[in-house]
Amino acid sequence: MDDYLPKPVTVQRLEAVLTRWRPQTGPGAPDEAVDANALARLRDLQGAGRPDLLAELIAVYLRDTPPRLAALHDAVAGTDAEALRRAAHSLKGSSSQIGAVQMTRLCRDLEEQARTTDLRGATETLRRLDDAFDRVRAHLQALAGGSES
Amino acid sequence: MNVLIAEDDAMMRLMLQRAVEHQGHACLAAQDGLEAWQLFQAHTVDVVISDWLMPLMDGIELCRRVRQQMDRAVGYTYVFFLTALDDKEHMRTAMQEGADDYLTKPLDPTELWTRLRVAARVMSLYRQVAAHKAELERSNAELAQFASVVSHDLRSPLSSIAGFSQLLQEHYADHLDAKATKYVTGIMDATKRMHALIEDVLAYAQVGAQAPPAEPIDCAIVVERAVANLHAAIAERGALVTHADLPTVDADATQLSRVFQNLIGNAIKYCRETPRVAISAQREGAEWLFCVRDNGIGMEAADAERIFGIFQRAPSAAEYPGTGIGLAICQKTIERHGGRIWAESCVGKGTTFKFTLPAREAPVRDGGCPPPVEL
Repeated sequence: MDDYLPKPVTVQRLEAVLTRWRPQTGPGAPDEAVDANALARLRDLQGAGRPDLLAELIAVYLRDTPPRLAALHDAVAGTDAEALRRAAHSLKGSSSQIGAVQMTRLCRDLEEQARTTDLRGATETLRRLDDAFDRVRAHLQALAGGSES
Repeated sequence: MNVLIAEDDAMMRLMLQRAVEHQGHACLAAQDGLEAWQLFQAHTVDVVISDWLMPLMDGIELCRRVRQQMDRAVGYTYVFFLTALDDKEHMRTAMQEGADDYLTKPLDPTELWTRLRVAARVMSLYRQVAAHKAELERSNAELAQFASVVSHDLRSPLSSIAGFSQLLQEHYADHLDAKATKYVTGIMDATKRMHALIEDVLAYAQVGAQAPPAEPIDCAIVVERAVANLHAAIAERGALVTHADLPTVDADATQLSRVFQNLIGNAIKYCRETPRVAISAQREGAEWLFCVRDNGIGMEAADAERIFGIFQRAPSAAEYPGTGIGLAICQKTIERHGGRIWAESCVGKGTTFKFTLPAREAPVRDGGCPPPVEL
């Protein structure tokens, strides 16, 4: 078995599973990693004469996410469902805000898996989350580098 | 407005801060609920935007504390939740705990700005209401104080008039002819009426000045105290005053006793036969309905509505003495205790005064509604 779809089937869950098995977007197509609309909304907050807010937000996100991923790994290794749920929840919040769509979905999956206290599927979800973050990081770094110049 | 942000995620916190400042609001930011609570206590805060899950203190506890603070202090604080907990159950819980609005992550800044405008409007309305209320309370207190001072100051010259008239009557009776004696008697009757009037105005002002303390009192004891005070009138008219089982309610014993005394006293006064007064109470939902029924002269239905106004008396009562304040005191007292009072009457067939008081058992609150805002 490669994956499972719990009943009752909702559009959201079905979409999550299908997204997981859709051909992965590689570094060649970085636009898929981060939702352009989410970034546009953050750019709206830029005040005239203030430091580049988007670059600041990206820097904070890229600084705070690796420790959270590490915490997720620790939680899975220690089969600590509650720690896993909390860490996945907080990473979900910031990831959704920065537009990391796939990471948001995977965090939601992890939250679900932690709730059922069956952490068997979590290892695989977490691996996908690491991969997704690599792509998001590459995309955001390129973006922040471009806006600084 | 002064906006306090409680958010443990550094990126979200920075974004929120900038989004709030973008609209020209001042901003305080805390990285957990406890820090937010400390900032809240140290500053004037109009709006709180709080995450739900945070270390040290979560958003729900923060919201509870802000609401409790509101009960003690003067101001209202508008509370938003901003959370990735996007299900209806969490939303319902947040609103029940006193949140004013609920936003979910990812947050669209335009949505936040729209909601902040609503918050600004609510806060502005709140301030207007609070200012009007303070102004009303001030002018009410002033009026009550005025009535109280005037009544007090009127007492002593009146005592002099009464005293000197009495001296005149006692020591100079031999020197006064029939006409002069009649004049002195007229002065003494008038001072008696004026004394009653002053005492009633004073009582009316006092009912307004003091909030009734909520202490459990047995209405049977209160009624018996009222009957004891009316002993002379009851004996003179041979009146029969009876009461059925009466409940225990939260009220000011002295004030409630005055209500019964006024109603029973009226029943005895406005009666051509041997007065019979029956007092009873029955439970109706969340309140008690009290009835004071008499066999008096009765009145027109239109007068039954009018008589609770201060100095208002029914035409049928014109031939009896009275100040026209007693029922106004009753109404004010009952309303201050959270009840209503009215009269049901028919000319020549007696009158039943009815009033309600809240029952002691707390009513079951609808779980779907936030508690009412205490201004």
